Amino acid sequence: MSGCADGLSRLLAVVGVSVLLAACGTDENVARDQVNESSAQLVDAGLISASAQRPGDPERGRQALLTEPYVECGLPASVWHELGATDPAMSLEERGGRNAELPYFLTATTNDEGVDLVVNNCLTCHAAPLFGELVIGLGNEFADFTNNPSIAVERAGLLVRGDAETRAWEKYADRVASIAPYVQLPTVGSNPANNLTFALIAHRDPRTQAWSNTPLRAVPSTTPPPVSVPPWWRMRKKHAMFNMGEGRGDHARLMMSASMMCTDDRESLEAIDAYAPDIRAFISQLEAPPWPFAINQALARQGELLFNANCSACHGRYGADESYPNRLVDIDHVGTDATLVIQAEMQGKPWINWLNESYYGELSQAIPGRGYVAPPLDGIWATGPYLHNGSVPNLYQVLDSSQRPALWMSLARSGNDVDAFDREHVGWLHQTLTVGSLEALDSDRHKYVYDTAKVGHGNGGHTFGDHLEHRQRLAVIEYLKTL
Amino acid sequence: MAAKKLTYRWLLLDRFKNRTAFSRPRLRPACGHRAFIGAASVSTLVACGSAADPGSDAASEMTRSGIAAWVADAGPWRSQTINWPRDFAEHPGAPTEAREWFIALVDTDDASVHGIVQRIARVQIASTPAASGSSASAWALRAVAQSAGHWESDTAPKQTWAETERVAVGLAGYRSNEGGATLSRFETHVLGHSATFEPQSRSAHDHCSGLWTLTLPSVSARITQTRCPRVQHASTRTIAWSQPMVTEAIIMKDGDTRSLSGVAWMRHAWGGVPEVGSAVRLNTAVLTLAGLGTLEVTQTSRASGRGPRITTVRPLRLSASAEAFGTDDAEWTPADRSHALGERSTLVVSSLGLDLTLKPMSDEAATADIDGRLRRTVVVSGSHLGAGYIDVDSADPVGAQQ
Repeated sequence: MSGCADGLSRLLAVVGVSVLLAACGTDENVARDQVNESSAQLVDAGLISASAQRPGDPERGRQALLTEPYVECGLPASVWHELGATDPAMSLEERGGRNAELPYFLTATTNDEGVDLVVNNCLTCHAAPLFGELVIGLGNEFADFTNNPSIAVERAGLLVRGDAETRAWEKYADRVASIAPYVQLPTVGSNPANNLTFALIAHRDPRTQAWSNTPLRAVPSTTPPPVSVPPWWRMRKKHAMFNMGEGRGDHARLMMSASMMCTDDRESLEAIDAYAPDIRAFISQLEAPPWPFAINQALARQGELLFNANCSACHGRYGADESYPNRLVDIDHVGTDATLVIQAEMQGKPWINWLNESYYGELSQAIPGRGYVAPPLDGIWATGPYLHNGSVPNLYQVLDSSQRPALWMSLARSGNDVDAFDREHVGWLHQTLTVGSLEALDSDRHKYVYDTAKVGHGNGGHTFGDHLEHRQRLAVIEYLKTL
Repeated sequence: MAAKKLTYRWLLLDRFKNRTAFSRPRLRPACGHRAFIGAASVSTLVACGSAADPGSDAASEMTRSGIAAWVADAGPWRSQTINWPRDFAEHPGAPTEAREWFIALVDTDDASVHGIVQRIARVQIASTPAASGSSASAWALRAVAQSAGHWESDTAPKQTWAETERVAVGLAGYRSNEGGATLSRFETHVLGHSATFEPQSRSAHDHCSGLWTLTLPSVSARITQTRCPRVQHASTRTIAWSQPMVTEAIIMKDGDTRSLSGVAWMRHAWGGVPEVGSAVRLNTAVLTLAGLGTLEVTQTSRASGRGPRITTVRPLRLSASAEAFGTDDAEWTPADRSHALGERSTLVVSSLGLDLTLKPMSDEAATADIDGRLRRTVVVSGSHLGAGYIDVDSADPVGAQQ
């Protein structure tokens, strides 16, 4: 099921992804012309103002999130049940009926022809087990997008029976086949959400929402830039969605892009839109999980002073005088991997236009900035690896760029791997590799290796903690545990 | 031919591959139709009949007809009396099956030997009640022994053979639990030839350790398996695992004796093996290549002609990785039922540096066998030299046969 249309991680983040250049051939003039046609004007760094949000009922939103089929295509249920014995530990007790038998990231539905389906939901990417408990809203940093998702789906077709099931499966298989070339990443935990969105846009008419198995416009790179899935509990503070603050306006409508893979007409989108504000309301009241281990309170108090002096201008203040500035930081200032920004600037225009012309654009807008939004740091301890691309294994290395490994492998295989969690530096334990040690690694472990030399994987920038001393960094980290 | 003894590095493989949840195509329980799984799929027949009363000493009518079909297909042994064990199981629509496939592919290091492929398959098919709770009752067992092979050297004439025998039926009492299954009773009923097994442990999960003997009209084999670390596969309705085994074997063919030793692989699946529909065609192959090891090759393509043709290649290694898929940057052509075992097939796997041409060692008629599958020994040339065994599982989709 990997690579299936999942939930809100597939939100529109209208930033361009490369390879258009490569696809344009070798004629430089042609390439330049096409780049110009694709170039987008990015907004300058600064504070992002709030947009009015449609009200919603959080409790109804939770129900809708967990039970509504906002991703409308998937595997026939009969196939799923042939394939999978759901681990009871993966199910959600609060879900009844057919959903009770499914893992939390899948939802049961029935299509127009009466075929029972199992479809992905938002929790595929936006929930994860952590130390024995499922945390809704935590980005799944263990999702495996290293395989071609079509492999599993095409093979699942072996188990499909009858014409109606075949049509249902083949619709899903067609969609997966269309996006498959653009969503494979080299490292487990990296997420191709941006590329997935652009691939879906390429196959869909903005006005009618009709799907085409052949692309209607430029497709993204086949080497997607990785993103680390941000936790949902940040949404209660954020004025704009996504790394570059490109998701402006009505957040609920933007979140609905989770339906972009399978929903082919406006009427169906409107049905989903009826409860989308409820889901947004639920997400907006989520809170970060507390640090589950002991905290050195004296050290944390020292860290708070350091944090407020060095970090709060961008990341906000916490506690009694809580504030969050919603600051878009210029890429030249933050200095982190610029692939998203560069590609948005060079190739983002068609995708921005698509969104703004579509049903989604009626209430929201795609306005990417020339930089990245400094996120709120609530629950930051749980969200490693760090930076927008997950290139830095732990918080200590975020605060000391000289300690960041160029080639590394996470030693954790799930969020329940408590022994693989580094409580001092905060993040999942990792092994630093060299080219030599990489070659000696068993081939089946290569997919856990993060290579910062790859495009979009850079671990530079955010050097704002480099001037701190070792103990000061530990103090800041101790304070961050309290958020 | 004078007996001679050669030692080869070899690999013994199961043929179930990566399909713990995928059966090769077979008919839905359309009773009486015996297509893919042998000429007499006892499980299908039994599964289609009315259940005997649990605990009854009498065989059900269905079971009797199953025996009749079995005997009818048993060739020269049809006249033998078979004492079918009592049937005290219910027979749900979806049979439970367990299968074991072994393929011995000799990867010769001897320059004078041009290729040896030996395949020995043992298949078990069982019908039990649906796995309700923690117990099941009986399995109807069937063992099919197959030997298809080729050897050729500078000093020995070419030999190619293909033999398939049903060698036993029987019953195993069976009890399942959270972790697996335990055999409490095991009977075999030999049909003139033998395939016996002496487990070192009564645990079904451990019965990879032991001594096998196989006798066919012109081939006999004695295989000792002495070690079996297990790798559990991803959870499905089928309990499945892979086991590398240090194995020794002596294979005798027309007085020529080959002594083989090396690492064997067995893929094992117990449980409900789902039926297969008509939407996707599946081709599979196993190749052993000198200096490289053994590859599993799997290809799917849609009946509609839409969508991607997916070819995956997974090298089998001692680490017994349970990874679902290997590399998919592979092209295997032609790979459909009508062409896969034609005069020439190619396999290109960029990430593994493979660019192979596969040519059959023997004609197709020599390896036609009981279940509609296509299988042949092949000689491999190109980036690597060696011998292989292709087992094409592209049986026509159900819809196309009805």
